Amino acid sequence: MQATSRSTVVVEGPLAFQMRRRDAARAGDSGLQVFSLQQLASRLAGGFVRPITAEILEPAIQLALSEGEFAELDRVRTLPGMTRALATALRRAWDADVDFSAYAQSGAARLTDVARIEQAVRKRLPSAVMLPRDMRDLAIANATRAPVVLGAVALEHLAWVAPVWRPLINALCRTIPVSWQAPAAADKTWFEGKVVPLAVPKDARPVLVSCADPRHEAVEALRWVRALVSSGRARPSEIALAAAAPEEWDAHILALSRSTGLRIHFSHGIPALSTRDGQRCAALADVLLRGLGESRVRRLIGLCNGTGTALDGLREGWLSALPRGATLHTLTDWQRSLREMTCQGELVRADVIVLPLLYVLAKGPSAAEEAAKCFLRGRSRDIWDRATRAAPPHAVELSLQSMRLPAESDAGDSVVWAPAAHVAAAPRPWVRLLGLTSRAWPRQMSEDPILPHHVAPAQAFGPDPIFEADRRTFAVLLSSAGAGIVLSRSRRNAHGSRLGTSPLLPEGLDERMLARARIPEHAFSEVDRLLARPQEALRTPHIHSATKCWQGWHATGFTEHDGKFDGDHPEIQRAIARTQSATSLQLLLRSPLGFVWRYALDWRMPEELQQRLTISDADLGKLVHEILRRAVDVLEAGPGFATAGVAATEVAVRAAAEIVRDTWPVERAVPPRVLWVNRVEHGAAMAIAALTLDAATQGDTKTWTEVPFGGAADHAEGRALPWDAKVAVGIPGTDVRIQGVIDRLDLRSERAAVRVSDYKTGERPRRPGDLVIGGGKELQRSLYALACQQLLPNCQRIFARLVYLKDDPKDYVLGDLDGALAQIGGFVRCACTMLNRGVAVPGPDAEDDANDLRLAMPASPSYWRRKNPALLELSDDLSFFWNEP
Amino acid sequence: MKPLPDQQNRIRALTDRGATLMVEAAAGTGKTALLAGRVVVLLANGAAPREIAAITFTEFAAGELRERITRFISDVLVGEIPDELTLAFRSEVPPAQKEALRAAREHLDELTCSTIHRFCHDLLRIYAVEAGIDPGAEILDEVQGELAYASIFERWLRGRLDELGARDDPVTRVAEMNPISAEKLLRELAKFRREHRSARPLPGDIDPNMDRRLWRVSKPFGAGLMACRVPTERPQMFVSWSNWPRIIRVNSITFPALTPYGGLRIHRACQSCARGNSTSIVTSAGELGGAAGVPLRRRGSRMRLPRITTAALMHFANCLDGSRQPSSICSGRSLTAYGRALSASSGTRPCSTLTTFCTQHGMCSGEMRTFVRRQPGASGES
Repeated sequence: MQATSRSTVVVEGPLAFQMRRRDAARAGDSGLQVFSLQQLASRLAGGFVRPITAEILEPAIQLALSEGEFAELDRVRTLPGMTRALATALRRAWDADVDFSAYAQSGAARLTDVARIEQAVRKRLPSAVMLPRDMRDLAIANATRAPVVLGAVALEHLAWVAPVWRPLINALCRTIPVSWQAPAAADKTWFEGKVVPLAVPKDARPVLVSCADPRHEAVEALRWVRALVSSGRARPSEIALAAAAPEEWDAHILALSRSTGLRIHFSHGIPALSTRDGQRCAALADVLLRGLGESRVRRLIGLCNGTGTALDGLREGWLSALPRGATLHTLTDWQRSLREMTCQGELVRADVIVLPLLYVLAKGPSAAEEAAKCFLRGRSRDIWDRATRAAPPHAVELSLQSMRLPAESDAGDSVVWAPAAHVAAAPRPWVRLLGLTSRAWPRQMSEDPILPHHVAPAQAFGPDPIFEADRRTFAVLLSSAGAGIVLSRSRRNAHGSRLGTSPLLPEGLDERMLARARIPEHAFSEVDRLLARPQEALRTPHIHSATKCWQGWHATGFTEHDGKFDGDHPEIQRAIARTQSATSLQLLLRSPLGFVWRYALDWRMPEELQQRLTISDADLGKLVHEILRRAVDVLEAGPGFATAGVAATEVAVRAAAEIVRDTWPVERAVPPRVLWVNRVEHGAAMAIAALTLDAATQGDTKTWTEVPFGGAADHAEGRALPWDAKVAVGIPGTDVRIQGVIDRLDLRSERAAVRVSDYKTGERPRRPGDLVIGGGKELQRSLYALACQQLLPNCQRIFARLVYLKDDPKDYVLGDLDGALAQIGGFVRCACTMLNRGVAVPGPDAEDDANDLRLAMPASPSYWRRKNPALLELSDDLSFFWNEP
Repeated sequence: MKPLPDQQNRIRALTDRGATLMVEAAAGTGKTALLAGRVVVLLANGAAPREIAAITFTEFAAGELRERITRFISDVLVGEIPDELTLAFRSEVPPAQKEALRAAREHLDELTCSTIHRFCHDLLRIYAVEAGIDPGAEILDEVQGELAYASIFERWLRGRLDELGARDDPVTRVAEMNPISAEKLLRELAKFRREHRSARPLPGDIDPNMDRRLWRVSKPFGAGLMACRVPTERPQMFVSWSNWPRIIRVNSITFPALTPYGGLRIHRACQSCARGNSTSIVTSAGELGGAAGVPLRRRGSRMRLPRITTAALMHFANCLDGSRQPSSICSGRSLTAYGRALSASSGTRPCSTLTTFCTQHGMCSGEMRTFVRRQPGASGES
């Protein structure tokens, strides 16, 4: 077997590295080494020498900074971004082959400081790790071994060689053959070896397009890629998408490419937060920075399940036993909740495992390290460590945002999305460049904040400024894309500001303006195709139905999209036949369409679980009712409510309020403590007002609160009620049955008289004294009375009243009960007839703030203008009732 | 070609390098071209690109300006002097200037051509160490900034609202008075402070005796108002006013112990009453009631009663002077007579309107007098 001769290829950037290795493998190039310049130097310097990495550099800088006593940097040395800034400055200076020891003697304060830091870093390096300059010098000293270690060296596609490596390359030129396949734009003046000019591919004329905004650019790029691949003109591995700084498009490309069915390789890595590992870090950061919210902790625990943390010791599904939306903000809340937690009837004992973890989380960002130990494993842990190393834990969210992970796909069989410099180092025949705007290409010079021009001369410290690099890259790409190159720019940025064109665009190119809503020659995804072909889209049942609905809403008549359906519909009959509550009855009367949605179609608004700062009106009502119920139950059990004095009532209410104050947070979301305590206080004040409203109550009166009737199950068990709560109550003259819970019922002995009260915690309407049923809005009072009429048949007198508790409480007794009941009967008959006819009008409550299904109504006011005549005609009978007091 | 009327100024703007100039001209007259021309002249005279800052309002304009400068330079170098530059260069560019332009073209990327935000950002970055700013700092864009602010504020707000503070803690006080609107108020204050960083509360010029003065006058004022013929549409307001002395008396014991906020509310109410610049005295009543811990005003009751308000205000001011006690009440008829007398004596004002107004609103004579006195042009004070 013949010994293969060794040879070395030097490339730049991750894409070139991957592609060159693939090519070598395909060609069976045995004995070929693919290196970066840095690797070449370290190989020659000695087998165990490693170049310095961020994990070593950053802690070393931190230690160096902590020594202090700098001439100029002292004031800023403790600031959080200092480490990162210094790392960047040092790397730049090292690339530029700056000898700091020479500057240290010059007496310039800043340079002396940086030289000291460099020296301190050098001292702290592990023995195998070297700074680039030192490594280079050692490699030059070993240059005589190059024929054995490296063989012939070829620099491939390198457009720029940093000054630090130049002496090494030239030293190699003297011992081994060194060739450089150099693009025309590269600076080769210093090079002593053989320059091999790159074969310039046949001139593909660039195409210039402009798009609406960055997202549209990404869309057009993917359409272009798909057109190339599906037409067979190019293989994915021959296509590259590039931008000077690709970050702006990353999210778009990542999101859109999923629906293209194409593999797109991110050569600069994928955003860490787009992976589950990254999300785990984000969830941890969220809890550390914002505290132990129930949803935050739930998310973190959910993401960390099964990753080998202590949490794995808990039984499966234990998390679902935690009530969603509970107010769990402090450790005490959690303790209480976790201790009593049961899952499928068994005590979970989650506190043993979870509480110690929560203790760590409660310490906040300062416990970042400890928390990571508890929650993160593997790649998540790496991401977290990198993020906290680069910036203080308080800024970990921002560091995570910029963090990237190496892509898991292979560049060799995918379309590549990369920074332009990567593509220039590994040219592809089909290239599309994004973002050719005035600022983005070339990027503007930004001086190094540690070593700016006025401190360190730019020629010596930054020989390759970013704009020159961008110009060079552009020139290389323009000449190396043999098959086709498309230059694309956005007319506006993501915020809508106009953008100028890049000064790099070749003169005399005609720009093709692409409209955002244009019909593409080639769609990139199913959705894109459907958008381009409305006729085809209509064949999709959902789109068809949505279009019909849209058209229906724009027609003047009453259509099936406004509430028209078959007469005597079984679902409608089912909805009417169920026992109604005051709420459903109000919906039936005032918003028949809402009634159909809610009770025939069973639509529900999802409950908002996030903790709000303010309690809703409905919750306030529940709060006051609960205080009232608890207070009256206590009083009735003791001396009897009727005989209790004001003082005793107040004591009972305060006690009830305290119970409510402490129990609600465990079961549901309540506002923060200060607001909650005060809210309960207000609720208690209302309750006291309600209970002390009636100055003189007869001693033989018995009082109940929350009295169920008509089959309502709430609070019925084990209580002595004035009647059997299961007996049905019907609205006279109709088939509709009702149920409910009476806020308060006072019954004189011998059933001489009964009084029912409906407590109102909200605003009082204008002239509440005139109310009968308020057009269907105030049904409760009458329905309570109806229940008494039917369940206490021999009761002589029935009083039904509304009690407004806000400000100075006042009650309003219903004058004509029979009239009101007759009105309700007629009203209900009328509404049911309409529904059975197959018509459900939106009604006056459709646009009401309190209507939680309002979202499903058309938003445009013109809808109501168009439909009004038809609606008026259809709801003629009902509108009579709506306008009644 | 006929020279432009402002040619001399244009030449000066292009070539006068020793002066600070402000060019002000209408849209479309060529200011940007002039600015680009001036940059080119500066470069031709040997200024280094990195020493020039050309600042525009938008990124788009900055891009255009840069493009124009580039085009001007290349035109000049190939010997075609663009129209905009003929004023500066005449027909021939001296070789030395051409050479300077050629050198400048190599470094044109170092020219600062940006918006003022970007320019300041760059300055801060370059001089970070001197300014004591974190050299590694990165500027958040607007959206990130909003998010960061919202997240920090939310955390602060929840933190503050989660622990019960001392009784005079402002957040606790606000929450105590109205837990529903407290959140809104705190958010508004935060927004205000964010938009006006240097805003501070007004110096407290609270009259320590204001509450006592108020109490002194409240009784006659309430009585006076009660005695007025109250418009039937809004009886509660007057009832509230009649309760006023009682409320203040009850609370006067605790007044010295009132929190600054309560004191401020009383003070504000008194001031607006005293100055007569409140549009609605109902508001003042509400303020006072709120301060005294008694809800007087219901939501939605801020009726527009400007006329009654005016009358009540004047009456109140009257009481506040202490110089007059509300006079006895005139009947509608005597008022009319009074008005007629007035109208006869002044002759200039259409007093019938005034009389009608007074009659309609059952104004007492004391108010009437004040009212007349304050009417400009009405000279009929008796």
